[in-house]
Amino acid sequence: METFSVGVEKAAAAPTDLAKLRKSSLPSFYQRHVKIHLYRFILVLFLLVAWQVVAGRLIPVNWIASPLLVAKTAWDWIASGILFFHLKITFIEMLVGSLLGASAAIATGFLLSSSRLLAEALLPYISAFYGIPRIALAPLFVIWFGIGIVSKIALVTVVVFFLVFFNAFVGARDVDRIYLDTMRVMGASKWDVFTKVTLPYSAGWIFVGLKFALPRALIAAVVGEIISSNRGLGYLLEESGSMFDVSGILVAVFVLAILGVLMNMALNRLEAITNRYRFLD
Amino acid sequence: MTDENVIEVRNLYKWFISKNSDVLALESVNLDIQEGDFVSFVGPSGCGKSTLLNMIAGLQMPTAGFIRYKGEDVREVNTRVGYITQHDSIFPWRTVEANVQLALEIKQVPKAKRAETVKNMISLVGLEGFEKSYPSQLSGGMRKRVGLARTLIYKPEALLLDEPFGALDAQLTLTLQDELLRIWDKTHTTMIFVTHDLGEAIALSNKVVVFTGRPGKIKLTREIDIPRPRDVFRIRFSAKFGALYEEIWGSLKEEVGKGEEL
Repeated sequence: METFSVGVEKAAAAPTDLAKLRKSSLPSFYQRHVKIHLYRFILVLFLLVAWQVVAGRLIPVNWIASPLLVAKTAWDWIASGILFFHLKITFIEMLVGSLLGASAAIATGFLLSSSRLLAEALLPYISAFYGIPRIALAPLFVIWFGIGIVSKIALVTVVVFFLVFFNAFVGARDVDRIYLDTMRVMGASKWDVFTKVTLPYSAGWIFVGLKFALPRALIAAVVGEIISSNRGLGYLLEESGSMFDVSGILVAVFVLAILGVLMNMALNRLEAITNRYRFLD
Repeated sequence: MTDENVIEVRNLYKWFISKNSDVLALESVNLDIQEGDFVSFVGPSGCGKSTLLNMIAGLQMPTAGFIRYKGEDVREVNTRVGYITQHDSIFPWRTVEANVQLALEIKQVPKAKRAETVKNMISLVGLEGFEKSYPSQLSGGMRKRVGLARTLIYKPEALLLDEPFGALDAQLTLTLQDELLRIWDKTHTTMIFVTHDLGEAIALSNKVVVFTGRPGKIKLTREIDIPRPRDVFRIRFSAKFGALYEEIWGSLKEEVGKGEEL
């Protein structure tokens, strides 16, 4: 009892400075953030300088180009509009193909999940088809749809479809019985169930599929263009390659890398919006 | 209250057969439920009382016999009733407001007309101020209220409640029972209430139906002639309640545990 009251008096005599205490318990996110970016920047700078120094001295420029040469090619292509023209083509192929493939995958996944009979009948075929490397279909699509944009859209569609389908199917099949019963008693149509339950419920699954699919969709679009095309980033790659233009190849590769990163960011953003209810406490 | 039967159950059987099990869940069940009545089903777990509720909602079909709802055979899902389950079935991806208005969306009530109804319903269950909250931000009791509001909003002719307060603490259960009684006094919606808590059944209902262990048969139907309005907080201390509890428990206790022996 004695020691207890002494402790209380002591605490009362020296009130804790709350503002100070709060400050000292703040996580050091900001400092970490700055440091990480600084390290990244230094690394890139170091690599660029090293590359510039080595190019033409240790390794011939027509093998590895040089940062300055790459920058010049990039500038020329941007100024002349060549880069954006081809970028736009590849981007449209990606966007249209991905939208088509994903919607078809989600629709099929929902359909099969709501009919077990249909699912059991069709799944072995879908699995067998899944085993085919989809890129192998590129020549076929060129014959069917020509060397233009349509054959690449078809290729991207097929690639995205198979990678999203299984997730959409499992996601839709996973929907809690209780939600479906609730909807049925309220007199919901199949469309209501799809838009108000299945889609929001399986959004997480679908995004996992999309994240996996998009990089491969980009590969499909570019490979399609390399095989036969007269436009797009893949064509730019092929064209530069045939002229031994290493800096041209590298510009195309960088642009593809940037495109991939941007798409992934857009997808993460979209996922965060649809998933925001999960991260509340 | 009229004497007209809303629900008629006749010689009902339900048999569940799957790869690993072969269960006769309900055997020869006969039951009438009148318009505006408040009926509770009690019985040991596994006695088929929830199955019967599902069949009244048309979510499951009987193996033999039939259920009539207002004179019509229930052959598909019965959209004239409301159904509230023990497990949370409100949608975690929708806000309180959006959950409550779900039925209105399904019934394609124009947006302008929804707002007022939703507002009234949210205030009926005492959730003002939480319209924009997601279920994950609410307590268990508040989620139950959302579920209740979401069902009441489309004014179902009958409410089927499957152990709706099963997972809540005793205090909260009493509060929600009180609210349910208040709503029933106001609307006189036919209520069918499944519970494993005999006290709850007596406190709320006009009639308690006792089921035997598996296979579920109706063992006893007892009128609860405690006058209304009732006070769920005090009713347990009344002599009438005690006598009814003794009587029905005498019948129920022989069954408890039976259903799980299988």
